[in-house]
Amino acid sequence: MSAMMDRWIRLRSLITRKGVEREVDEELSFHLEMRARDYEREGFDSDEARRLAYKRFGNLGRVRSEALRSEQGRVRRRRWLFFLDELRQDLRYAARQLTRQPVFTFVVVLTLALGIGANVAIFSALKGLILRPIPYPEPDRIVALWETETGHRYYMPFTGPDYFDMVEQNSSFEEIGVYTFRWLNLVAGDEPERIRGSAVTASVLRILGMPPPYGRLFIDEEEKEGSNHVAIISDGLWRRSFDADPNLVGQYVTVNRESYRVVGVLPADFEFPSPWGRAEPVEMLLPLTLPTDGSGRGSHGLAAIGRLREDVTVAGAESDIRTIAARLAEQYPTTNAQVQVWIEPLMRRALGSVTVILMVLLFVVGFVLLVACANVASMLLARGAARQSEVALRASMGAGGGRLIRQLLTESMFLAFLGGIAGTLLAVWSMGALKGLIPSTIPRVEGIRIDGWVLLFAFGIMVVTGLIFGLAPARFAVRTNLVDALKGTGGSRTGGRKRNRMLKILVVGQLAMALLLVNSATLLFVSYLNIAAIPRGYDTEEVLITDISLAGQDYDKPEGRTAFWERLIARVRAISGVEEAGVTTKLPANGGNNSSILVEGETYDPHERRPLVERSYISPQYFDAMGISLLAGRTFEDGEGIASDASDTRVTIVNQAFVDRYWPEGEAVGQLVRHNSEPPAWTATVVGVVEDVRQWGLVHPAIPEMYAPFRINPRNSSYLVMRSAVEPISLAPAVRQAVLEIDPQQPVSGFYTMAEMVKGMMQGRRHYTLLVGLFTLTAVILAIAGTYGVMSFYVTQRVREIGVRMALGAARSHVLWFFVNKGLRLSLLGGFFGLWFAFASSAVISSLVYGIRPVQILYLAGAMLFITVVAIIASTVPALRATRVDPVQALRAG
Amino acid sequence: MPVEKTELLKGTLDMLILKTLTCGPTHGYGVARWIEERTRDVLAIEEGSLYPALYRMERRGWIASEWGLSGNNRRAKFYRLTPEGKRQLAMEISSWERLVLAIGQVLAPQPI
Repeated sequence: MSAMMDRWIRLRSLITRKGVEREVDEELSFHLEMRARDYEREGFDSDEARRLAYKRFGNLGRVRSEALRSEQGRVRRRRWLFFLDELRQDLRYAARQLTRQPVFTFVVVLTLALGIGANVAIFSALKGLILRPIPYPEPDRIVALWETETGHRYYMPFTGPDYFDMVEQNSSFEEIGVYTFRWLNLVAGDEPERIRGSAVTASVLRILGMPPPYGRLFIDEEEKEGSNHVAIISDGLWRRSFDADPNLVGQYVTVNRESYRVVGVLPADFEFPSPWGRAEPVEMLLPLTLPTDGSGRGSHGLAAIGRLREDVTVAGAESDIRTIAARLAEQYPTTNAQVQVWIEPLMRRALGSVTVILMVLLFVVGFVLLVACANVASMLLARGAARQSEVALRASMGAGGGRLIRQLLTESMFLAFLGGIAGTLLAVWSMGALKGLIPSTIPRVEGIRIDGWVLLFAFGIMVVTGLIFGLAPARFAVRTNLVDALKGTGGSRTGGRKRNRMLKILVVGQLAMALLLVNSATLLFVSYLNIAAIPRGYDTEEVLITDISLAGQDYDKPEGRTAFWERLIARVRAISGVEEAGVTTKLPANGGNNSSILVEGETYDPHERRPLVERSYISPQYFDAMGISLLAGRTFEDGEGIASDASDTRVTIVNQAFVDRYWPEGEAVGQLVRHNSEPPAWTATVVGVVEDVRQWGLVHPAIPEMYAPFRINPRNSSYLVMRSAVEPISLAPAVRQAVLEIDPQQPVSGFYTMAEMVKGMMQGRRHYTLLVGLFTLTAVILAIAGTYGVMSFYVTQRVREIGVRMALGAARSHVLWFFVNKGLRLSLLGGFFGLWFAFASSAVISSLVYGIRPVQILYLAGAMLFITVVAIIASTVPALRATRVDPVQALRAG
Repeated sequence: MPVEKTELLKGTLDMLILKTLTCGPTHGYGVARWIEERTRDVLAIEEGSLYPALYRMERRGWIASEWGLSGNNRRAKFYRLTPEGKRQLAMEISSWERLVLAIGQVLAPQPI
């Protein structure tokens, strides 16, 4: 050891560049002086001797710099080797220490694994969804364009004529493109298949900028009628339905009973932007043919994206197209007076609320990690007290303070790395579960995985946690007074007091974070219950749904579609087990389409904004099938609603929200409603009122809705809704049979119940609440364990004192109170900071919860009570145990 | 006493230094003096060039250094030969001898 120390001391003198220089200079001048002295002996005077010595030496400058370079290299290498040598020793020492106390090591590693694992898992989700670059070249320049009511930023789709005007008049975009989604019936094998497709302008694919591995993208000419029977298919469809045939390009496929020539296959990593958050991937692209006669300026149905020119900002482009929108508003007041446009970078829309959720989770797991660090730090501090004499021994043998800190830090780093590795394994293990927690409507879930960046992140937090929980205990251990420690009196008073203060801070911090987390988790949980308890207005368990999209010449005319739906409803109602069956264009809680209307007493004014009203087209039996109650009037009659004659007075059924808005006092049935145009596109008489259905999701309040007979506007794509008296899914084969009997080429996609659909919507939220709850529980358990650990350490320190007091006749209750009092004070302090955190974070919390205010005195009081109980128990139990010890033994033990 | 000086062959300085150190540890100046005495001043060694050579050899592990006191009680850096240096010296000597032998054969008057 002492030889090593010598080496160390010598090396330390060489550490600085100056040290090396000084030694070289000393050596060279020794040489010169000796030579000069020899010359003097030969009889030269001292100046001459010096001159001769220099001359004989040669080029002193060159020699010196060469020697310096060489020597510095040598010292650096030596120092590195020496460092590695020490590191190896430290690691061996640390490993020995940790294996000697396997329980301690296990608890620390487990604590850290929980903290680090949670962080790694959440980070990998964050990275996979948000930080991972989207596959398009220069994705920052790709934006989504939306129309909106003036003064808002609603996600209103574009109209064709507005799109053409924007393309022509803008100076900010390289290109703009629009697209719309369609269900397509593809016949590739024997069974017809219903796939999700999109009709796109040729510019859309150029904007996304991903070259196809086979074939080509669309060209502008293919948007025209007559040349638009071409298709591009996704990599997934190509593999699934065409056996990855490389010669598919140029061949014909049957889509909606028409022949389309395949011109290209998309790359495997292609992601089609789905602004409406649908889960189904887009598998086939067709050219979008838009009317060029300027018609349809009021019908908003197109998603729009654009590629910004270089050096054009989002804000700049937005003000450019807003100028165009203002011009259009003047030109076409009927349709555009209230229409404004805006721009949003593509990715932000795609991920939406998931970003917020992940950020919250990242914060929560960050807190978990902090608690874990505080916990481990206090364990190490407490153990540091037990190890004082060992540290003191090493110090007395000449180990310097810095060296000892390094040694202790190596030990905590070693622990941190073990915890980090265990945590990363934990994260890998939970990856599958984590992916399941993310709602399937979120794109890019498959991109979540543990990769190099995630590992780098894991490594980063390992180092940081190692430093956080290791530094303070190491510094305390080293500051210990040598003599006291060696005497075994448990450390000097001052050192002990400082350490106890540090421990107190750690306990207060843990309790504060526990309070914050318990409060937030309770709020989220109650919010979840609130959402689950929202009255839906429809039945779920017994309602079976299937989506059907008609395609082909038979269904080009409305009569053909009406005939199909009416025959289908009749056949399905005849199936035994089906109580009622109906058709709707829109399912509850699944978005919708809307327009604005006028009621009696209102006059048309293009510049006045009218609130939006939902519209659905249904068959008369829909309400009964879905379980939506009729509140007043009647439902439609079979055959009501004539498709051909639009100018006739129609009939409509409205919901309660509609009545509340327009006729809160009077009678709704019999009132007239007309479209917000002049002359009105239609006028309708209200014949019934039904209960509200939340169309835009669970937390969005119901908005006024109008139902019209589906014969007015029979769609190609609609939902068949069946109320079942038996297990709903058992009806599927009979229903499929009924469809094929009407049209053998008509595909029927999956069946699902309303219960499944609603569960799907709640699932994301439930899992997220669960996850926050789980992490909170972890943090709380850690905080309890930490508090208990510190309090029992504190008591152990005073076992002798307790012994003395008891021996002198102190009542046990008195001694107990002494410690409980300490615990209470800590919990009050922790509670104070926790409350402060809770108030400070209430703004954030309020954006995450539903139906509850972010500051609930009751919950805060509950959380406060909780940590107080924790603190009392954590201080009572060890104190109780200490007071039971025989005083004599306690005195000896001290 | 002007003596005609001979240039030192490249690579031979290391060998001379190592040889010097076989007699025991000494400082840089000692090495210079020893070579000077043994060659009777025939070799033109620029004394300065000793030092880069010493540092280089120390870096290679052939010699090791330690600070000590010189004969006149001054602090000086003493070099000593390491076992590795000894092996290196033996190698250099044998290759030197082969060189001398070969050159000697070339220069020797031809028989016949």
